[in-house]
Amino acid sequence: MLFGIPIWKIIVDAYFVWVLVVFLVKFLLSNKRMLSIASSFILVYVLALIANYFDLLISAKALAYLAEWLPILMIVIMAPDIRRSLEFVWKADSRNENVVMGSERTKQAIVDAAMYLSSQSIGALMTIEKHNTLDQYAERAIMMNSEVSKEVLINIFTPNTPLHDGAVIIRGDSILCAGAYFVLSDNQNFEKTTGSRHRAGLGISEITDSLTIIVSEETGNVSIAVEGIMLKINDRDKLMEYINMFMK
Amino acid sequence: MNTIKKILTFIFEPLRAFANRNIAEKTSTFFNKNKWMIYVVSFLITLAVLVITYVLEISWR
Repeated sequence: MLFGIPIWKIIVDAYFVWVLVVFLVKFLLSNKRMLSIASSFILVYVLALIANYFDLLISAKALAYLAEWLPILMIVIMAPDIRRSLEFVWKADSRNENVVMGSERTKQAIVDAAMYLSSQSIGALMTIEKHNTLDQYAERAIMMNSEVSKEVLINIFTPNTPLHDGAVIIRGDSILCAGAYFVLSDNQNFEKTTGSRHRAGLGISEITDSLTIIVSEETGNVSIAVEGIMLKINDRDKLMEYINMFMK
Repeated sequence: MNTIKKILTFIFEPLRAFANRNIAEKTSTFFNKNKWMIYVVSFLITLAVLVITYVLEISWR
C-alpha cells in the first residue's frame, strides 16, 4: 500500500497516464502551428489560475470563459491540422533516426531542374524535407523512392502527365514521392492573387521546417518558401546558396 | 502621450521579444532531432501528475 492505495493500482495508473501524455506530446510536436496554439492555451490557463488565485473578479471570469471555449475554438480553426497530427501520432516514422541531407549532386540536380523548368515556364513544387517528417503527405501521394536527377524532376512536372500536379518531396538523395498535396497557407500578407502552388509551398513551410522551391507556371519565376517566408530567387547562384545553407 | 507610450512599451516589449524568439519552431526541431526526449518529457509530466494526484491530493475537478 502507498498513500492508502494498492501499489499495483498506482503503477497501472501511471502507465496509462504516461501513454496518454506520450500521445499528447507527439500530437503537439507534430507541427509548429499546433505547438504555437498549445503555448497560447497554456498562457491563458496560467493567467486564469493567477486571476483565480488573486480573486480578480472580472479577469478571472473572462479567462475562465475563454479557457472553457478555447478547446472548441481550436477544433474548429485547426481541423485539418488536427486530423493530420492525429494520423501522425499513430504512425511510426519511416525515416532513419539520423536525418541525412542530400549530396552535392542532388543539390545540383534540383537547381538545374528548377532553372530549366523556369526557362520553359513549367510550374513546379519541390519540397526538401529536414527534421519534421513529411510522411503524412507522402502517404497520399504517388510513392517514387527514386534517385534525384534533373531529368526525372523535369519529367514529373511536364504538363499533362499524371504526376505534374502537386509537389515532389525530396528526402536526402531520393525523391520520396510526387503529386503530394499540402494545406494551403491563408497568410493575409501575400497578394490575394497568389496562386495555389505558391500558397501550398508557403503552407508547408509554415508548419514544418522544410524548404520548398516553387516555379511559377505564369511567369517562370523561381521562389523558395521557408519558415513561412517566401523569397523570389531568379538567380541560379543565389538559389544554390540557399539550398546549400538549408541542406548542410 | 510619451509617458503612456513608454509604459505600454515597457509592458508589451517583453511579451513581443518572447513571441519573436520562435520558441515553437526551436522546440519542434529539438524534439524531432532527439525523439527519445519525447519519452523523457512525458515521463516527467506523468511524474508531476502523479505527485499532484497522490501526494498533494489535489483534485482535477
